[in-house]
Amino acid sequence: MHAWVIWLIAAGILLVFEMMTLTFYLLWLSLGAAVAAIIALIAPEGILLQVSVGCLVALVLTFFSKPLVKRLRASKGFQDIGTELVGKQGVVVEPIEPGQFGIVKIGGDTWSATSFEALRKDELVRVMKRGSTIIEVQRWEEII
Amino acid sequence: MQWAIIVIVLLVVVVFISLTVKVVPQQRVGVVERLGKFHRLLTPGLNILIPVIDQVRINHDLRIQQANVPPQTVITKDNVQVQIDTIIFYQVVGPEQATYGISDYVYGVRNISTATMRQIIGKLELDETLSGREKISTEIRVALDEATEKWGVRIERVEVIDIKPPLDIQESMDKQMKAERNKRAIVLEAEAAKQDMILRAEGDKQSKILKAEGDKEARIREAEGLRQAQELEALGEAAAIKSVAEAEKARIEFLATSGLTEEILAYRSFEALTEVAKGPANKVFIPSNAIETLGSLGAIAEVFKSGKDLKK
Repeated sequence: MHAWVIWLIAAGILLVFEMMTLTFYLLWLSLGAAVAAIIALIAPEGILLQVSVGCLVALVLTFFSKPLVKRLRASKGFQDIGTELVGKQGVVVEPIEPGQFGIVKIGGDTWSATSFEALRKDELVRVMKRGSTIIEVQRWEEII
Repeated sequence: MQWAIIVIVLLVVVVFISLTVKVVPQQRVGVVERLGKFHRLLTPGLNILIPVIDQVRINHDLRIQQANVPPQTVITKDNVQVQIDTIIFYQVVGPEQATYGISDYVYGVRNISTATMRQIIGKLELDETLSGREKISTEIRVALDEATEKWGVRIERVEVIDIKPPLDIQESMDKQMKAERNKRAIVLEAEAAKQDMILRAEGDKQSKILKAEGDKEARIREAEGLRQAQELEALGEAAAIKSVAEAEKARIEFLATSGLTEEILAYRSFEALTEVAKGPANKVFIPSNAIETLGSLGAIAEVFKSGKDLKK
């Protein structure tokens, strides 16, 4: 069997696996194998040349995928409810004393909250800052 | 020799590329350390790492996760041991803190929630724990958020699946429930009997009153009737006496006007005689001239009698 056929088969198998798993590094390897197949067609005897060129192409492609990554970054994915809490409106469920924690309900979720001022029950508040589990709130009217 | 080099080069390249390119799925986050120090977070999507220098320390799942807590024996304020079965929902919100702040946050979450649960239930009486699940969950919220703030883990909610009091207490609760229902039934029965009696008595009273009233009215009417009848009778009598008196008066007047003659007086004496004869006395003195008159009357009667015999 010719060397280029083997390379091509390898490229095809890698491509199929890449399509099934979507990990991206198999794609670069598959493209490397395809380039090696072209080299094998030109120089069937230089097996080391084929391998090194194929590997080089794969590595170069990997490093050139950085701009691609940047472009993909821009597109937004699923946004967690918790991540966009700042600026939202909530209702005080348990009164907040300065320096103590109360409970604020924001869209069906209850959060522990602190504030610099005392807030009574059923007051509207705005989320100012978010820690990992505790949020900081202010009275709603003051900001507008 | 040549083949060995080929295989080694291929292997190195494959490993190199697999370490460089990282695809992170949605709602997962990787923590990247550059030479052992925290560098950045691997966000969802395609990521390129520098092999060897950069290393993914841990992958966190950012979705809400559940942890079952095995049934815990908790003592309430009134010293009853209850078995409490809870489920915890938690979410990693700060991957850095979850990695570096605590060694095993799942274990930590489990422990802190059971400890808090014990503490809260210890302040409540048995009856309150059975009915106040809402209160338990709000109290847990504050206590847990305070504790887990540094862990980067938010405990969404702690749900009490089941509170099981010990068997004997459950039995006595059943008994209490039954007794209460029985009591209600008995009270209701007694109330019904009371109402029955009251209604009956009221009916009786009303019927008696109505009867008495009827009697009274009947008697009044009767008396009224009697009175009216007597009055009418008296009136009639009075009128009759009046008219008799008037008639007498008229007769006397008439007699006076006509003048009292011997004949009338004689006639009147006869009338009186017949009246006297009817009286109870046996002996009657009859004036002589009266006898004569009677004798002549008798003779006339004889003449009539003989006349009748002759005709025969």
